[in-house]
Amino acid sequence: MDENTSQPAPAASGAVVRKKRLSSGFELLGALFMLGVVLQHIISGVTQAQALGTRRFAVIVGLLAFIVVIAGDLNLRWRRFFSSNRFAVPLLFTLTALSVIGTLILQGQSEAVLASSYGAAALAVIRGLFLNDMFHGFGFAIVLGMGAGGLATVIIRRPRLGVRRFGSLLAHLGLVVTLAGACLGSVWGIKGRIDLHAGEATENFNSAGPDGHMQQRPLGFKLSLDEFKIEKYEPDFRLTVFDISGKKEKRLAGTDPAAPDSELLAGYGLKLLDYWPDHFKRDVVEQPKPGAETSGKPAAALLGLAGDDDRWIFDDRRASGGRVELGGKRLAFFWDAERADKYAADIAEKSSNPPHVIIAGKQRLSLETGQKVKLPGSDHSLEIKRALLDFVLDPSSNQPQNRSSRPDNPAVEVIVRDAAGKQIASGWLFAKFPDFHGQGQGALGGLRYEYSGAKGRMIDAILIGEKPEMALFSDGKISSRVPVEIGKELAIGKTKLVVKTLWQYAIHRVEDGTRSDRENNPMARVEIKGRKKPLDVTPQSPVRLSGNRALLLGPKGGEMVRDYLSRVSVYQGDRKVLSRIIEVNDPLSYGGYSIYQADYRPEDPTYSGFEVVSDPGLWIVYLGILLNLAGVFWAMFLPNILKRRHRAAGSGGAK
Amino acid sequence: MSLTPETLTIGALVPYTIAALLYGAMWLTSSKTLRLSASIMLGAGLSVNLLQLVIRAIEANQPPFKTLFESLVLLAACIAVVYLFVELVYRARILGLPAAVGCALTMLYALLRQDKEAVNLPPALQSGWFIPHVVVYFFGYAALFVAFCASFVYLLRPKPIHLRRPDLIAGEHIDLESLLDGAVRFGFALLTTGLLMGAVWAKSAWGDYWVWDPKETWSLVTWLLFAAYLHLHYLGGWRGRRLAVLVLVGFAAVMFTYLGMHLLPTAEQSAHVYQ
Repeated sequence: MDENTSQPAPAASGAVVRKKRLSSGFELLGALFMLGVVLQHIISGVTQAQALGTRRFAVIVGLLAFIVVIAGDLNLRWRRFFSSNRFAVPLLFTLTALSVIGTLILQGQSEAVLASSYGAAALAVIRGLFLNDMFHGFGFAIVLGMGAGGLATVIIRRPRLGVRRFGSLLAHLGLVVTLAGACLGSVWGIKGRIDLHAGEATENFNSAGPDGHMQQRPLGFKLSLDEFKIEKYEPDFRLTVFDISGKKEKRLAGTDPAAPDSELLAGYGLKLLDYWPDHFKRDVVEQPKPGAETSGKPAAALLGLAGDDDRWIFDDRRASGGRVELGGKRLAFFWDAERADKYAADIAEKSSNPPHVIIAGKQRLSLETGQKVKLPGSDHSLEIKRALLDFVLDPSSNQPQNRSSRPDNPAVEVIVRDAAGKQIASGWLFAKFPDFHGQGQGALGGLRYEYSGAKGRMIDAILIGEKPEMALFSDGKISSRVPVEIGKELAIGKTKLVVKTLWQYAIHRVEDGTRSDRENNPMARVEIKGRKKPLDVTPQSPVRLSGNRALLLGPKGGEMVRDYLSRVSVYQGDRKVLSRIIEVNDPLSYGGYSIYQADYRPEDPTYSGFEVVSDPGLWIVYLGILLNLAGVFWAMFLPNILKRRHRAAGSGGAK
Repeated sequence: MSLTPETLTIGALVPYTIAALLYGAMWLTSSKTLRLSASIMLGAGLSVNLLQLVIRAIEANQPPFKTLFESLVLLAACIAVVYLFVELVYRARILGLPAAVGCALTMLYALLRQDKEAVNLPPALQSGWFIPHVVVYFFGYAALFVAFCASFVYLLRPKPIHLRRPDLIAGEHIDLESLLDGAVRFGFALLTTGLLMGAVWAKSAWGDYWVWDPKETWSLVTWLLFAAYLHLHYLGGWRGRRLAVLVLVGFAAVMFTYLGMHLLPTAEQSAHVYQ
């Protein structure tokens, strides 16, 4: 930079002189940093802003420092100083020191975190010098602004151009341009957020205003999120031992349960007994040998359904037989025709009655919704106003609602009237909670509700093994009987199924099995030293070991999300302008904004979070980067290449 | 014996160690056969090392630069490549011993920090910038390691080291200072490229060039230190011991940037800390 110092000075005296010269640069920068600190105290005092609230003024302070240097350049002595090593070297080391401090002290944390991390004295120093927000503080801004001024001065001085110097000038110019672009971006740039669920659209985004409060700004177009997709890596599970004594669990050892390292597991007192990548409970069914004891053995039928696994159904010869749901149809299974008929008659009787039974004292009153009955032993009457199969209070409106169409929590709202027809009481009765608060008191006293209605309606067919035949139901009654042929398809409504096996007696046990080699539902059975029974480990149920250790079955590699993709469309008015996918590393640029994929929520799979950035300095920064790179490569390599060529040409000439 | 990551790591570590011994032996004997065998042995280590990178890349179907182990394997290869290049260009084996020791120690550390299998890449690292950013940086680190070796040898040289055949090691007309300077210039150009690539990448991934993430800040620190080197050497006329010491300091900063981030209180959330 400074031509006067570009030649190596005589060693001994030069070092002393240079040391003195460098120290003045350090003193200047130190003083200016402190000036920045004082200024920041004043500004934060005047604006009553918190420590972080003064950030927006830092750019202005940096610009001022830059302008001061440029103004100083009017004076030849200062111009020489700012473009010399006497300024550049202290500047580089000061920036280094400040940067290092900025990584050693917690940045941008709350007062509470700072207070818990540092002692009172240290905290006073940190706060006093704004070291907890180093890179947005006035002190750092001044040093950086001075640096930019120095870089500009180097260019302004236009020294005699050598090959290396031209590259160096280009590199300096690149840095100034980059800083200018960044400055532009931080003053006029806008940054904000858009949060959408799939199917939603917005014309605005939220961004923090100068006072730090969020405000809505118009995008100038409509952005709709058509679809959001989270792509995951194929899971590959590992059985891993963790040390959970510390704040953060520490991985001690891990092995692939499909090809376990048994020595490694033995080191932790573990033995892997079995592993099922896609675990399910498998029925193992066989017929007892001829002449063997059959009492107490269930009857069994194997049912097949197109596109589904075969299912066993068992009749243990109790009143209700075996039950199974297949292809949306509810099926009962009885071996004996007699028991099946009795069951069918029972259902028919119950379903012919109204579904609601109110028990008043010793009387059972069957009634439909809207039907009125006289309460026995009084001149009061009772009416069911409405009935819900699955009562729930809607949390927002606090009104009763039906949660599902299954009778999970049947309830009726009843009204009791006197002889004149005047309402004297009303309230809800719950079949499953006869003692529910308030229930059965006052005029509703002694009333209970029994739900019986859906029983008949919940059966679609009965398989009778003895005959064998299928009794098909409609409206709670047997509507037709179809003979069953083993291996031949029959229809229950639209569902077609095949009875594959029908045994009067069967030996049945349940075994663990795997549906496939894909790790969809992995389970490991592990023997743990010192425990009698082996334990099953699944991703949902880790096992606590002794000595603050835990055994976990989890996907390897930690990171499971491969990508998150938002398919978005841009509209101008009602006209769709474009439609494309935004993903991490591939933002959408439209209408002066770049929209980045920023967030997803595992618990909210249709949610997608975007960052919206408008950066008027973008291309200036890119230009600066290119200039700087070109300059650095020029200065680093070209002079030596030329020198070598020159030397080669010289020696060639000598020959 | 199958080609497990461990086998391959040892497979590179052994020739690197032998190469270090051979380069070391050069300082003691005058055998001419040592010259070639040391270089060949280092080349053998590099071949296994590169093979390891390729196998891992194919097996995991992603660039093998995610974990500390993977980065160490890459670094050892980069050091070997840069050193062999220097040996070829400067026709000197004077840095052979420290460079081979560097490769061997890096691989030894890799062996200790072995991760059994590749770790999935998070979405942010799935970018066209990932490979150039990392590879450029690691070649930069390797170049600065060579500069560090040169400084190290330079600083030790004035002390009386007995050399049987100094010419064997030093090559014909080796100027250690120019070698040191060449390595720094090469390293600095790569640091600059890596730094700027990282900024452009961050912009395309998150919308910010620079967020003062501790690793970013420390790579700025290393860049500033070597920028100071260039100013002091080319304009301030710094030569010799002072310059060598500055390179040692600069390289210490490089090493801290690479391996020390977990020690910083500010780096808990950083995407850059090796697990």
